Amino acid sequence: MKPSTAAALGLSLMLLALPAGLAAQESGTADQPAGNEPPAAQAPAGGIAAGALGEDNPFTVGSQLITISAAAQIPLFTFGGDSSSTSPNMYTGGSFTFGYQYFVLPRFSIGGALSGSYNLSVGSRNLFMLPLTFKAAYWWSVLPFEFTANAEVGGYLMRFDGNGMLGPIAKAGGGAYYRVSTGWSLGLEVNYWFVPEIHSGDYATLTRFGNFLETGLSAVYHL
Amino acid sequence: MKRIHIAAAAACLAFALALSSCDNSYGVLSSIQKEVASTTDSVFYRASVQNVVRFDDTSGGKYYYATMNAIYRRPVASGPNTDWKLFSVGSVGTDYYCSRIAVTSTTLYAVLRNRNTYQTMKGVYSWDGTTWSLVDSSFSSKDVQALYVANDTLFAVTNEGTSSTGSAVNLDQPIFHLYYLDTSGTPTFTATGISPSTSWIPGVAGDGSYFFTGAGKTVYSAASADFSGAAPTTVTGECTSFASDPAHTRIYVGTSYGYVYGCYNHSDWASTAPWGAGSSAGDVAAVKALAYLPVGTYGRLVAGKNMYNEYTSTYYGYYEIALSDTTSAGLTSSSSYVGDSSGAALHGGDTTNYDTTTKYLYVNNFYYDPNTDYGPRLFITGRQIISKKLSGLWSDLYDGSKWGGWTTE
Repeated sequence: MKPSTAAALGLSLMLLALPAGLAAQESGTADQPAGNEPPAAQAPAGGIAAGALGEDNPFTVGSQLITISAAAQIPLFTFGGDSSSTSPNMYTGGSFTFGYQYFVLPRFSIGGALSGSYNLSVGSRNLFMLPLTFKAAYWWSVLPFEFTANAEVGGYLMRFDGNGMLGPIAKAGGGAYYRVSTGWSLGLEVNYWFVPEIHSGDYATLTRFGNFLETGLSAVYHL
Repeated sequence: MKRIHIAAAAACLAFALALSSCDNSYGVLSSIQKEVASTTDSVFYRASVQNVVRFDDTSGGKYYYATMNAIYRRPVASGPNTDWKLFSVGSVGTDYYCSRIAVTSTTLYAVLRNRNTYQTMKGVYSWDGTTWSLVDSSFSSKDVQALYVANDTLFAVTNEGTSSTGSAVNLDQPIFHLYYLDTSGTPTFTATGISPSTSWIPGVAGDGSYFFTGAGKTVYSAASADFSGAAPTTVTGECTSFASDPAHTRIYVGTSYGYVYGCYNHSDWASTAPWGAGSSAGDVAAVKALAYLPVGTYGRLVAGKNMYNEYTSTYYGYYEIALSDTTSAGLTSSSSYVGDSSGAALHGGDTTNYDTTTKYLYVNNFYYDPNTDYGPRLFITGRQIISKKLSGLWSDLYDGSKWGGWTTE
């Protein structure tokens, strides 16, 4: 199946809408009168106070993070439709994720993430997924260690053997990091991917729900 | 805040639009679940298999024989991917190279070469189920390139060209000759009336009484095996394969331009182009293998793709052609199906079976075993594309109404 022009347009609008939403939020901040700037604008550069390695909460309002992850993509099971087994019939592959988060409350951030994953099927065909998600996360720290629990929802583009698919996706997981400097944290991250592939009408029996576990290394850059 | 709402609404609308415009008819995860895992324990794993035949000898032995630079065989009763063993050839033992075998109603024939020096011939040998014998010792030094059987008569193609370097064995400027085995007395290979050709002779077919062969863009037909007085017919592209349906007095010819021709009752010709007409410019998908299957109402052809230009092609897999009647070649109103379409039959109703098995084979040959004791069974031989890890030999069992799908041999 090749996504239609309308599908490509729709996905492009999603990618444009995400930074537009964030820009709308920041422009709202800039609209406030001079001299009455919100606390976020008063946070030190990078969102982490200088010399604050002893504090328990480096995640103040206005802090920003960029996350980069490289992980193993483990297919767990697939169910639904007229499936007679739950075998995913795929081998462990790999994934990468690029994300951005902005702290709207102390310890609570929202943002987005763009991922890409690859798995090889038992019949030697290649499955690629490209999820784009909205992400909400809760962070806490016992410095130099930092922890996060997060949830994501969004959509994916899937390519397999010349066929394409679009659908919704949900992720949940968390990470544990070690703060190596004022700018960087390094650690491990685990996320569960729930990947519904919805078909309707005469093809409803093709519906499947894929389940994957993403586990690997993650780096966090504190802006 | 209003701008956030507008942006979020746009995102939701865009996502809904993207989902609603998706074509629903292909299930990615369901297709993956139906896949057949590549079998690495096959004798023919990641190998190129040239051809396969069945031979039931007079002592009751029933075996399939396949060539993969040597002869392998398995008992017909054993089932796919079971009991394939290297076959010893009499006094020659296993010290031989063989890429061509053929079978008549009474005898299996094999072209043997020296295993270490490919160009050195041992000759054409026959196997009756008990004894291997050299056929026509005067023919044993000829560079036999292929064996074919039509109307229960054995044919051999030799290369009797010249060498650009003067080598006695490296005949890189080929000239192909066609011989038939005259068994009226002591079996002797006899030259046919087909003129020696610089074009390859890809096969010989029989419609029950007439014989057909071809070289280049010409197909010849004759009433006798010596092709005396052969009548020529021109085809589009060069001949690359032959198939027979003697029950309905018709044969089929595949060409390098993707055409399939059919001849009914010795002279009534028709054609179709199952994957679109090819082009004389550059590389095309040649019909390198062709087989007739006596299934369904009017029968069905299966046309295998392979390279015509050895250095540039990306064509592999096969098409099925459902014939439209039995009182002609059946190609005028025929329907063609790529191997994984819903109209194709060989995948057994599961298109994933084709996609994960024979789709990625450069097809060398088909062989149809019509016997119903452990069949009927269709074999496909070939070589997998470089990025895949597949067996070079597959078979498909027909239960009388439905094909079961491809299985590794």
